[in-house]
Amino acid sequence: MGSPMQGTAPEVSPLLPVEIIINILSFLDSKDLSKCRLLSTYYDLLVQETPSLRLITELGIGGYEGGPRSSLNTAERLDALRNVHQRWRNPQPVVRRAGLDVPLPADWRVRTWMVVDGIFVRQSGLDYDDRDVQFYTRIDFVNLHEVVQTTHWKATTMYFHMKTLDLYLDIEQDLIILTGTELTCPLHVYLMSYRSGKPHPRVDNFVLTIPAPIPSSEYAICVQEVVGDLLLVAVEPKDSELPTIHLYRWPTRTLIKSWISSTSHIYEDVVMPVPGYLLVLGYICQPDAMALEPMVQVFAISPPFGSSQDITFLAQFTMPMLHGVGPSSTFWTAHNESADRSSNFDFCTSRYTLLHIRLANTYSVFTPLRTFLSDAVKAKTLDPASAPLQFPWLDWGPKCTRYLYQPDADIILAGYHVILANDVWDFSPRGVSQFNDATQGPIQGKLVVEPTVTSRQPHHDDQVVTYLPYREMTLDLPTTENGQSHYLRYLAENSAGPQLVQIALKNPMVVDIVTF
Amino acid sequence: MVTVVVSDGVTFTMEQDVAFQCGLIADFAGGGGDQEEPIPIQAVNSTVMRKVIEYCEHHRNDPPQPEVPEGTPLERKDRRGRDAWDKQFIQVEQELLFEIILAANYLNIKPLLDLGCSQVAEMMKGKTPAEIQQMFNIVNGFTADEEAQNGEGEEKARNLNS
Repeated sequence: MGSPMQGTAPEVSPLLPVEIIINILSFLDSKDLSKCRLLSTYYDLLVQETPSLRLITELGIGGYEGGPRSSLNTAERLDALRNVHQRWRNPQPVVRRAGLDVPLPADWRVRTWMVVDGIFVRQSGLDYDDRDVQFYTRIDFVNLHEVVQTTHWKATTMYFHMKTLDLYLDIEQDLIILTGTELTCPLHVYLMSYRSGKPHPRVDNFVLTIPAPIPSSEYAICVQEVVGDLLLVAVEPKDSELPTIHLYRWPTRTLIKSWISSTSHIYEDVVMPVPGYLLVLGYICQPDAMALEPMVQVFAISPPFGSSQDITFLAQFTMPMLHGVGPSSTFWTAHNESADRSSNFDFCTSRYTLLHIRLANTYSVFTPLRTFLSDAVKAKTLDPASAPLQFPWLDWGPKCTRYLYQPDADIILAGYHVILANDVWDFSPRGVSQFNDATQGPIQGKLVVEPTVTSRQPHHDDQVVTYLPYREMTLDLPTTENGQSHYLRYLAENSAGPQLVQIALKNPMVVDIVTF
Repeated sequence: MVTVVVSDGVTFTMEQDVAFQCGLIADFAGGGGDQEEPIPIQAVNSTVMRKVIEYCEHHRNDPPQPEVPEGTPLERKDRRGRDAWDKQFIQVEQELLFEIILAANYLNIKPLLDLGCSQVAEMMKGKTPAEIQQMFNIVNGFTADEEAQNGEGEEKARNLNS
């Protein structure tokens, strides 16, 4: 650690010794660290040459965060990270195919999906027990990180003695939340243990009954997110499309706050991009027009991990209309599936990264969720009715983003990379740039504040419009014999590098892992 | 009881569990019974020592801190005990804050050192490089050429991170 000091001694800050400066800087995120590099050559060297600071910077730029239980030291982790970047720059796809070792009776209704990075489930519908007419749910978990050299993935099968429709998995907390099949009130979710299949050891009563403030004959219920002791559940009446989102604390099952949609405000989603803050995503309905104006509200939870919590409104963003776009606009959000934090990854992708806004049908905007948590926003408390904040245009672009999975469009957005069914688009890491179709080869991006639409037509039927230069590569993804299967495709990325998981939905299932 | 004498001659007497949070005092006293002679702490003055003792008294019953690995994401790092009391305690003038950090470093009180450092980091957030230079008393060490590059660098920093 001596090198930054040598030769630059005259401008050492006289106020504090170097090891303390490093300690201070280690509390900064990559954005503020990059800023520190502009202070002086000394600080520039300090940030670049101190491995721990360098790691924070490089993780942040790539949209990663450190794995909690890494066995590597800082320098080794930097090497591993650079290795992954190298693989992204020069991908060499290698396909490994395997079947699943658990046959299913043909008449079972089976759903398959990836619940967390590398773990997917097959959930069998209702079935009759041999001896009894009891209902139960069978779930097969397949952990793609555990099997290395076999031709068959091993599934862990679990039975739950209740009827369930959906599940949410938080491996780090050994928590699996199953939602009941009830369509009418009372609605239930069940707090179970992932390891044992029994009620979670932390809860006295594993049944959480969810109120539905808007009367309806039928509801859909969805566990949106669990962060520590906080639990977000959405209830949507089938006939009104006015969702209610409840924030609970578990294991006590206390209701902390509810966002109830009305004819003026519709709440679609609530996410927790960083501890202590909530982003509420939805629309404001203009009474005079048909238009739904996209809105992001920011709330602070204080204290973030305490036992009793206050929720404070901080700010509201509304999305201005883009030039040339008609009055109607839609938007939706996506954020990463939670990474498997129980594994010994050296680093993993940041968990809450991406807001995808679609204005009308042509303009797509990607922005990190953290965009909405600037210091100015955090410091602010204002009335929801007064002075909505402008959307932070400057922060647009898939910069520190990781991936977006859209089952209908076969598109995954991963940091600088968009993976379509057969394509990888590699974005320039230089930020928001203008795409010039006439330029071949490496493109020198030009910084623009407002996005422009590329004249190039995307290959597929999706409506993705990009504002960035990209490099393109065709992936030869394997198909099954008849080629007609439906596929689920996921991007799983961790310190082992990016992996594309392709699941052919047939019985028995075929799983392809494409490593790069 | 442990007695220390600081740079401006003031003596402080405190109970052992308070004093031994300072690694330096624990090493010095060696755990063996009551000290006869006050321990000299020349690098710290009485104003700062009073703050340090206030901190140690508040945290006398804390369990030992787990090690936080390097490269831990910011939000996880922030989790470790910065409670409301700590926040209030560390709201001091910058000059005193730096002195507390130096004292915590000298006396070897890791949690107080981290609290002080995280507070300085907190103060740096959202500031322009020029404001931080002033805060740290940094003489701009860039040459004119490097300055010109910095314009570009700033843009880069803005775009690469968010």
